[in-house]
This record gives sequence, structure tokens and C-alpha cells, in this order.
Amino acid sequence: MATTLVSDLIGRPALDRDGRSLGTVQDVVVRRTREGRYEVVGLVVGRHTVAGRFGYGGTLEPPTPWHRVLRWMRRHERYLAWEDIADPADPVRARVASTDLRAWRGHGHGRV
Amino acid sequence: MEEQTPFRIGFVVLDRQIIDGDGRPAGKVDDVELTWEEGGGPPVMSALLTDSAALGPRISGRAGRLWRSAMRRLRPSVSEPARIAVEDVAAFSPSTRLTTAAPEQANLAEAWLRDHVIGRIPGARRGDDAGE
Amino acid sequence: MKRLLSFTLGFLAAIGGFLDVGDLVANSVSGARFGMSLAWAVPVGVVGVMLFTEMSTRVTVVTGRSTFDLVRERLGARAGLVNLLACYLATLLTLAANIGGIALALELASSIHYLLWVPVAAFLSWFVIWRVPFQGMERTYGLLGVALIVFSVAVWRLGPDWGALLDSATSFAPPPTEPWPTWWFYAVLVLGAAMTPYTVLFFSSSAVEEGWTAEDLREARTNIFIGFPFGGFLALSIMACAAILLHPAGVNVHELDQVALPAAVALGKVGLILAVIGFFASTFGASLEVGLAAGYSIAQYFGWTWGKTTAPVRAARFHTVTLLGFVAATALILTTVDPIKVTEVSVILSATTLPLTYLPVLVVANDRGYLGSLVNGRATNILASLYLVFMLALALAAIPLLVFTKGGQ
Repeated sequence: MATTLVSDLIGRPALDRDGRSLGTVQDVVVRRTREGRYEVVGLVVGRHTVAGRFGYGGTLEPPTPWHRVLRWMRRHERYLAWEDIADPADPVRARVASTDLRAWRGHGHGRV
Repeated sequence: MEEQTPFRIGFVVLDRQIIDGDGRPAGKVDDVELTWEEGGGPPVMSALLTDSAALGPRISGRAGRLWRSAMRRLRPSVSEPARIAVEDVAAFSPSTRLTTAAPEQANLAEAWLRDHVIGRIPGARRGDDAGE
Repeated sequence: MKRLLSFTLGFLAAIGGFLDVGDLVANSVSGARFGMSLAWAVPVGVVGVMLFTEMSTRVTVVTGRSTFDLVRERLGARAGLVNLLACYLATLLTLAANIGGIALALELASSIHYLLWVPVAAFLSWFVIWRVPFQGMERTYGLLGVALIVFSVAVWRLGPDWGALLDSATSFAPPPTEPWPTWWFYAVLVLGAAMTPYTVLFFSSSAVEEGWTAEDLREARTNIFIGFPFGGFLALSIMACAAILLHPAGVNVHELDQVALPAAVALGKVGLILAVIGFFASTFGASLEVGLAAGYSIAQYFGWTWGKTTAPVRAARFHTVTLLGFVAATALILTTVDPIKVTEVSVILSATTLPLTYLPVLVVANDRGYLGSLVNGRATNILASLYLVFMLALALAAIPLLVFTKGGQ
């Protein structure tokens, strides 16, 4: 059984089907399955995750004066589903074109 | 168990406080291990890593390499970070709560300082709530 | 009655927590050089520190999470570590400055050279952290710190020209003989002395230590909203004393006894004694708070057991780091660097690092997942955002101003 560290995965460059850059891997999205395992369902890619790192996109609503700034800061974040990944090695290669990816609209806290 | 909404490891799991089964702090989630199981399919989260040996690679680049070599020199016998199986985790957020005791290894530095430094200073056994 | 007592004591602790050697020096130096023209910086700083402390205490009380725990959670391991190192450096310098301050106060009281007092001051502070219970510790220095009210009495006894003071306070410009950059440098000094990150770190961590719950939040807020402005009032009094007596005489303050001078002139020996007691209490209280804050920040980043209330053997790493902080700060002061200069540099450095802890706290104070209905309101957010921009400007300007004005010369 092969293992990888999340820290190893985060920061890898990601390319789309045509070799265009999607930025780097910013985060790994998992879901708890019926069997109680935590399965990777996709990656968040983009240029940086300053705003995402703060928690915007989860339970955190941007405070009154900051809506626009934060939306602008997160404009390049994309969600890359696991089934759309051709090769998770370094660099990560997607099966799809960058224009087919949707923006990352993240989910919140993982209370089990 | 029901299926839950997806969440981000980087935000929800990494860098969270670990609280062991007795309610005591036991370090931070310094890294997360993913395992590819045989027969294909996406990887699953298999373990949380804690301890300075796991933090080093996170602080990547030059500083991270220096950290790693310093750690190896300080404790040559222990090169692997402390490992906590995902099955032992009751909750990830807001803090990572374990159902079991923290791994012995995560408390080596604490135990050493307790026995060799702090424990030797008079009054070290008394807290604010007297009588302990 | 018991409630009233607990309220009074908490409020005293808040005053003590607000004032330290940075406030004493910054306000007196600015008053002597610029009259009351920097008076505006005190209320601006007090509102900033109230906002910050209230948010961080609310976050801590509701979630049970400490400040550097959240800093690491929201900034990640790397940015969090950079943040920790910068804040720790500023905290260590502040600790050194306050140990120097205690030693200078003891020199004033005893005429024995301050360097001989430095090890005593450091040991006493550490010993109180090691052995004295939390509340007793906080309340004693809070109560003694009120002796600084002697400066308010002194202002009144000196019988100043109130109209001229008010004119100076509303001028928003340096006196004609002083350059603008220097004036701004001292503005940053007064603001930075009021808004110290360690105050916030200590206040919110002590909320965890004393096991405050959401019900105690009201009391904590009252302490903050009354105690800090009262501390600000004392800071303004020190500035006014210097503006009335030292500014016209052209005295430049670089010693702690010059800070005390107006109290002695206005109220004689009693004035001097009270001023020295006040200096001792505020610097001693601050050195306890800063020393603990240094240990708290590191332990919270790495996720160790921390706390003054638990027996040291159960928080060995925390107590080791705290002890090492005292050793390092003492060593720094013993190199015979001027404690007043160390104070100024420490204030500038803490102004630079202020946004690093302010931003994560502001972010989490908006998180409904954590705070539910206790998230920041609209008005708080607008004010807090204005302060964020303001603090960023301060942080960027602080070190260039220090270099450009050669430390305000």
C-alpha cells in the first residue's frame, strides 16, 4: 500500500488536459463514507489560498466591508474532482480543460 | 454511519490542536497521511502525524531542511513522527479529539523536561488550586 | 457585595494590564517634546486595544481556543511560524524593557544602581509566576498601579493654563520647532504603547486559565471598557504632566526619574513615593504578563499543555520556555543597553507585529461556525476594519520612521 503525505501533495503544480497551468494544489477535499473512511474526492487548485485559508467559503461569511475584496482574492480557486485527474503525480495532470472546471465553493467544518 | 458533506483537509484537519482521550493537549496535527488501497480508487486518509519530525517538512524550503537536520541531530534514534490512526479520531474540528491516549512519542520532550528540569525546581508540583 | 468586589478587582487588573514601561516612557517623552499635540494618539490607541481585546476574549471564551492556536489554524504552519517568531521577538524585547523598568523604579527608591536590581527584578517576576496564584497576582499589581493617579492629581495641582493645553491637544501638528517625521515617530510610539499585542494575548489566555464562560463575558467586557480607558486616562495624565512642566523648560526625557519629576514637583515627597510605587507596580505587572505571554504564544503554536494555574510538572515545556524567556531578557538588559532605548525599540517592534495577531482574531470573530450569534456585529466590523487598515499603516511606517528619525532624535 502506497502512502503520501498531504503536505507533499499540497504545492504540486497542476496542469489541465492541454497542459495549461491551473496553479498549484492548495488543499485536499475528503468525504466520510458510509463505512466510516475518509475518502479523497478532489483537490482545490489555484494560485494561492490566502482567503480560503482564513475559512471564507466555509462557515465564515465575509464581514461587511470585505465582500468584494475576498471574492476577488478567491477568483482563481478551482475544484478538481478526483475522477477528473489523470495522474496525481508531480505535476498533477487533469483529464479536463481548465475552462470546464468550476470555482471552488467550499464546505465547512468536519464534525464527525 | 451517514455520509457527510466533503471538507478540506488543509483547513479542517491540518494545524488543529490534538486533545487526547483524557482531555489533555497533545500537540498539533502537523501532517496527514493518505493511503492508496489495493484495487485502485481514490486514496483515503489513514493517519495524522504530529511531532517536530512531521512539522519540519511543512516548513519547506531552506528553513525546513535546516529544521530536519537539526531534529535528526537532536534525536537520532527517533526519525519518524508520532502517528495517530484515523480510527482513533472522534472529531477533527474545532479541535482534533482522540478516543485514545496520545502516542508515547509525542510526549518525549515534555517528559524529559519534566524529569530533568522543571521537576527539580522546588514547588513544581503545586498548582494554583492548592492541595495537588 | 461580592459581585461588586470582583468587578472592582477585575477592573483594577485591567488598568494594571494596560500600563507598562512603554506607556510611561512614550507618554512622558512625547509630552516633554510636543506638548499635548500627540494627545489624540492615546484615545485612538485605547479604542484599538479595547476592540482587539474584546474580540479576542469573546473568541476565546466562546470557543475555548487561545490566540496562537487560532493563528496557526488560520495561517498554517509556515506563515504561523513566521508570525510566532516575529511576535516572540517583540515580546522578548518588551519583557527586557519591563525588567529594566522594574530595576529603574527600584533604583529610584533605593539609589542603588539599576543593573544590580536587574537579576532581582527578573527573579521576582519569575518567582511570582511560579508560585503566586493567578488572581492574587493580577489584583495586587492592579491595585498598586492605581498609585499612578498621582499624575492626574499633579496635573490639577500644577494649575496649568487649560486653554493652552486644549489648543495644543487639538492642533494635530508638531510645535513649530519640531519636524513632522519625528512627530509621527512619537505618534507611533504612543499608539504602539497603548496597543500592545501581549496585553491581548495575556487577557485572552487568562480567560482560559480562569475558566471563563459565556456568562462571564459581560464582566470581562465591563473590565475592558472601563479599565482600559482609565489606564488611558492615567497615560494622558503622564503626558500632560510632562507637557506642563518639562515642555516649556525644554527638558528631554531619557530617564525614568524625569518621568516622575512632575509628581515630585507638584506633590513633594508623597508624590514621588506614589509615582515610584506606580512605576514599580505597572512594570512588575507587565513583566509577569509579558513573560507569560511569551510562553503562551510558543506553547499554543506547538499545541503543548500551557498555563500558570496547572502545576508546573504538568506543563514542563511551557514553564521551560517561560523561564528561558526571562533568562534571555535579563541577559539583554545586563549588557548595559539603555533600558529606555530598549523600551522605545520594543514598542516600535510590537507596533510592527500588531496586525499579525489582529488579523486572525478579526477573521475568527466573524466565523459563525465558531461563535454562532456572538459574531462581530456590523458596526464592530466596520470599526475593526478601519483599525486593520490603520494598524497595517502603522506597522509599515514604524521601522522606517525609527531608522529615518534615528530613534526620534
